[in-house]
Amino acid sequence: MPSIIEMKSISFHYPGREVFRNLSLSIEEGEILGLIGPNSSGKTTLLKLIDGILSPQHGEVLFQGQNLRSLKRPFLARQMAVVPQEMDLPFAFQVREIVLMGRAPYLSRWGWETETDWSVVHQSMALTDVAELEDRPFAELSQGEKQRVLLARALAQEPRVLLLDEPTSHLDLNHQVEIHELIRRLNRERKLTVLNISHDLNLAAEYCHRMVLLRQGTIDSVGTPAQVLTEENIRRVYEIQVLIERHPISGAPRVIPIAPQMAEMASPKRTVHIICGGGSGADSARRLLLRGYQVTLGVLNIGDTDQRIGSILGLSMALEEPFAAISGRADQANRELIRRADVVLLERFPIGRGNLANLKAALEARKEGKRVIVIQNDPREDLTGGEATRFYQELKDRGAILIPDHSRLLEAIEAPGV
Amino acid sequence: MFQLSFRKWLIWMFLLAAALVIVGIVAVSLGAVSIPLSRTVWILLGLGGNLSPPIQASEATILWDLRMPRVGAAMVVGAALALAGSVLQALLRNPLADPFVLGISSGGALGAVLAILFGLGATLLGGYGVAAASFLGALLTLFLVYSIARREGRVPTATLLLAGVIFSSFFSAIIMFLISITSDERLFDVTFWLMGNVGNIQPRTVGVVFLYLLVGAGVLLGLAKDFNLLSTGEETALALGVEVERTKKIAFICASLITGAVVSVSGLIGFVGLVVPHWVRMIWGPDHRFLLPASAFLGAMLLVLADTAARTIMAPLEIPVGVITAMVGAPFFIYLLRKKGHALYH
Repeated sequence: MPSIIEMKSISFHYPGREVFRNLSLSIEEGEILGLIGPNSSGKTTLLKLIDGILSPQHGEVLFQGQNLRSLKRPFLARQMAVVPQEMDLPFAFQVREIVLMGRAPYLSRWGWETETDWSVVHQSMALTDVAELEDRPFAELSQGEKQRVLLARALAQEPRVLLLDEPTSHLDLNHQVEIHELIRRLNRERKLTVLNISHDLNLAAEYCHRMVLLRQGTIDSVGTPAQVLTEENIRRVYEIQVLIERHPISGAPRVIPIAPQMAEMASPKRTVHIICGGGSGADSARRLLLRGYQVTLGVLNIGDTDQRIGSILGLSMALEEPFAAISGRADQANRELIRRADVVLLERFPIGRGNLANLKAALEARKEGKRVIVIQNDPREDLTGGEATRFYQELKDRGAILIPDHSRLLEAIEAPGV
Repeated sequence: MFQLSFRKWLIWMFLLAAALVIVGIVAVSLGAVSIPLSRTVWILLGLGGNLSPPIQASEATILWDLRMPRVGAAMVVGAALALAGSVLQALLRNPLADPFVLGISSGGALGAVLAILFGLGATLLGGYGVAAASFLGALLTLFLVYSIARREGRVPTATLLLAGVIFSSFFSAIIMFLISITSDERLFDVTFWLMGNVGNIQPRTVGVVFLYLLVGAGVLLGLAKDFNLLSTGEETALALGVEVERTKKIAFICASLITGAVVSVSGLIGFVGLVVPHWVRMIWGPDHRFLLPASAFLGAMLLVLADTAARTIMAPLEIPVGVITAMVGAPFFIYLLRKKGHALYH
């Protein structure tokens, strides 16, 4: 099938925050493409780039082979429609006026809506079950009603491509199913191309032809729902354990999170000392605290992200002056915290001469028989010219538990004695 | 509820225009020398030949030379303020916006105050000195506010609003300073100008300002549908086919030029630009194709009535018209807010 939208190696950043680097994606005409991924993986930004609401700093977005920038906005509004997550209004527009706005790209500057426009508007409202709300002020509706009105407006645009940003997140069960059935029908009958952002992986798996799994601004995997929704992919991207089953009737994959059961595995009152820095340990600290563990941190420079979050969480920490190398005193404090801990967790963060003492402390702990868990390091983050990498190697040789990411952290902590 | 169609639009515009004409005629008939309404109509139509008692030359002079220019000025100023107010409320998505919110008017006021204090009023441009200096001040401010708010070719409304508010307070401070060091009769001129009035406007200046209003209103009315979409948010408007940045720039500049022109001849007349668009929205809904022209008509009527009251209530003493608009406008606005406000603000 020919692609209707093509993103060619685009890079995009908000002021001070990079979202995409060199991302490519093509959307085929007539498909329903699901866009999934954890919070802040870039889903909504991607949707806005496709619609030209945002422009990439590098690369280009093509609509039917033409660069978006070269196309006029009214033309694009007749081709693509967006259903945003929400919309707030300072003025009291009625529902039918909102839906009527979907006809704006078809009107000339001085033109008024014709009978045709009104009949499209009424049909769109009927399809999304908001016809009886048409006199109500939009701002007074419930979230679910608003979502259906915004979908009606998008349908009134009579687009070829429909871009949906979590269109059913506020809907009750029957409307959720109805809206997805409607989208499926429009896809079949009008060859409507659909891009659907969803947090409901199971619902998306039912309706999407293809899925794109985003992870921190990169496409982690793409393919049929069965290809994308695997235990391995979900574990890597969402950092939780899941079980994949099949829907008993449709056969679509179903994702069942099993992380909650692991809470029973945790043994509270055990202490985990996290060696971290630059924000690498905050997430583990938070999760372990929630599971009932005692958590300590070290060695952290004052002002470091991990230090600030640690102090908000009220954790004991081994501290060093801002931007200073680890001194003997801080190292001593760190070793003391390690001595009191049951498990030591070494996060992944850049290691230079200044904080090499952290690795030495971890190695000492291992030599003394303490359980040490190491998140797989990245050789590029070794700024010591190989010395840090040798420490990592020795840690491994001496039986530290090496895990690739945090999804199996709890298992590693609770695994029977090493 | 009211649903707009082109037919309804046309009928309402006709009704509003007719109402404005009636208000205008009533206004010119009232004054220190009261001329009965029917007599006023005949004289204005030039068909007063058969009237008894016969028309006196002074009657025609009072109607045509004294009151008509003033009523005309009130119409133009009221219409322009209400129009600019409704446009800025849509663009800034803020029901509290008015024509003065971007600081353009403060710049204009500073220009006028300087002209008065340096005695340029009578010497420069044959009596038009204050108006010219004020308009220049407004243009300079527009340029300053706009350049400061600009970021990479875009004009974010938040920065625009902030820049406007900052300039507004800065210029107000300078005006306060100038007033505080002035102690002669010029102080009265400055204060009177700042309070706003339409009594001293030359007929020819009314014509110039009317021209500004006409062109500006034409351009803005052509953007009315875009304002509907913009008031639902800039991203939504973009997705629905509005060239957002271009529309915003044109609209800001138009609204600012109209405001600057009006302030330069009338001073700071408050409340019309803030309140009238709300009245229209409460009665007929928020569609800008209706809101813009209806606000202009109602603004014109409101200011004509207010100015008539200003010159008759305590005659021969004249009250600044801005005082009247605020005194009448505020309670009426509160009444509407209590009665219909629930559908407007959440």
